[in-house]
Amino acid sequence: MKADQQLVRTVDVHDRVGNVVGSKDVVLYAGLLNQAHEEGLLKVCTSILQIPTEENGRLAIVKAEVQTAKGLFEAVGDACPENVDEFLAPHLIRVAETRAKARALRDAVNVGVVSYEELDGVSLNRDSSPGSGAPIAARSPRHSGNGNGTARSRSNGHSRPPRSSNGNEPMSEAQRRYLFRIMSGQGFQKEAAENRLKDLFEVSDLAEITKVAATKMIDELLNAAPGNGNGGNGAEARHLR
Amino acid sequence: MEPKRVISVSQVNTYLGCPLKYRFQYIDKIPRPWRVASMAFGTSVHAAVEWFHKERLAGRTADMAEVLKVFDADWYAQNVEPLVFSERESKDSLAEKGRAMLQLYVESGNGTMPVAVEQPFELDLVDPETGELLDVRIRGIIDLVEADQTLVDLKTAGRTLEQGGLERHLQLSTYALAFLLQHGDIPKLRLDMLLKTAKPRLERHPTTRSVEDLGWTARLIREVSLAIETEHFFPNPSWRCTECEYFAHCQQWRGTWPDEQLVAISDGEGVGEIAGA
Repeated sequence: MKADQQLVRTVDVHDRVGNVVGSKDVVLYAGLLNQAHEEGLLKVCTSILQIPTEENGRLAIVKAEVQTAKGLFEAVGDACPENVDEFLAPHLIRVAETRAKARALRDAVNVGVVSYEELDGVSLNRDSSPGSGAPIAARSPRHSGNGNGTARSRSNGHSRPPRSSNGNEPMSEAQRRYLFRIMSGQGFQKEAAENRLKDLFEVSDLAEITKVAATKMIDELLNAAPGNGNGGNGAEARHLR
Repeated sequence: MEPKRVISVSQVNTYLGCPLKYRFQYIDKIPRPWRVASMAFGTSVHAAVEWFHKERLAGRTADMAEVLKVFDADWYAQNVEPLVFSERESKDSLAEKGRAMLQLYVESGNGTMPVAVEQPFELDLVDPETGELLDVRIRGIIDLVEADQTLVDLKTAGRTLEQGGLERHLQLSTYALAFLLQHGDIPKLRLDMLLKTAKPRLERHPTTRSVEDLGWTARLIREVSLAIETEHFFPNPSWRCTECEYFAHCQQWRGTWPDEQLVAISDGEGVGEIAGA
């Protein structure tokens, strides 16, 4: 098996100005898809939960359902200009969809390692190698990319250029409303919800929360919501739409 | 080849309301120092109604208590940032009003099942009268599509529709235009208005459009797009100025507002005075 056919890869982690600050094991969407097919993939469907608009900070949210012989797996993915590369900014819905499908596929094929497509601030190493700590579950099917072209532009081995945003923009109104609805679904109302969010973000004022931090927290809260099977959009998350 | 300009219905509406406000909001992307409470309130009601219909669409029973929970959470979140209330309204009074309006809305269901909720569209603009392909794409989101192909827009308002308001309603016209271009026929349209009157009211206003109406709409959108492209941004003074978030920026544009005062306003100081609240 060639190294570039491994499901799990090691990628560089960058800071906001493009310096490599570490590495991380990830899986690739193409590999996940291949693995799911090998395990009897029956259906993949997606629905848009939120269209990106100027009013909601251009946050796209997509839900994916993946059905295999093992059952139905649901997950959501999001994308906004702050958590994608600049060249992907015009394609937020597609990025959110890929991320949602990747999350659902991971649950379906029982891979706990985060997928490359879900991450911001990483690039494939020039000589990307199989990950060290994660199980190698399948071969990547046709090529060494990630299935949507992002690998090619990120895999040049150089630090990526600085982003137009420094990642410190305050969370958008849409994100704030979304977080309060998640809190409501978890039984935290009004002041209790606000206090809970302050605790979660470790801030004294919600205005201190950045867009990037909010994106990550939304993702974690949705994934951790009880009753959503393997990381999906169950009873708690139904309040979010 | 340059990609076509894409314009949304709300951008067209904003431009028609005030081209300078359009520039501040969409070109300069100036953060709003505050929001008008009625706008935020409408957004919260809309979020709860959307949730209600999505539950129905998914074949689930939409529980009233859950609808109100969605509204309460959204309204609380909206109030985390500065909102400017009118003299007769407050955070609590609008919370109470919103709950009553949603109760009325849910109980006044017309029995028609939704077939789509918050349905997005984006397509090349075509003049349906001439068939001419106009050099712009239009995008929008249809609030609700009912089983008999009625396209519904939901609005909250303080009072009933003004004379001619239904015929001029650009959002409904654009829905109809998009539907015609996609499906080849003109749909039924309806404007549902939830009124914040002392005792909340729900008004349903059915309407339709002719091909001529939609040709006019297409050309209007194209002209707005051209005006934006050629950077025609001028103020349109009206009663709306008193509640415009960019009032101070507009004054600065006129040169009558010192820069240091603008900074203070952008930081949230003096909001009430400026908005006339």
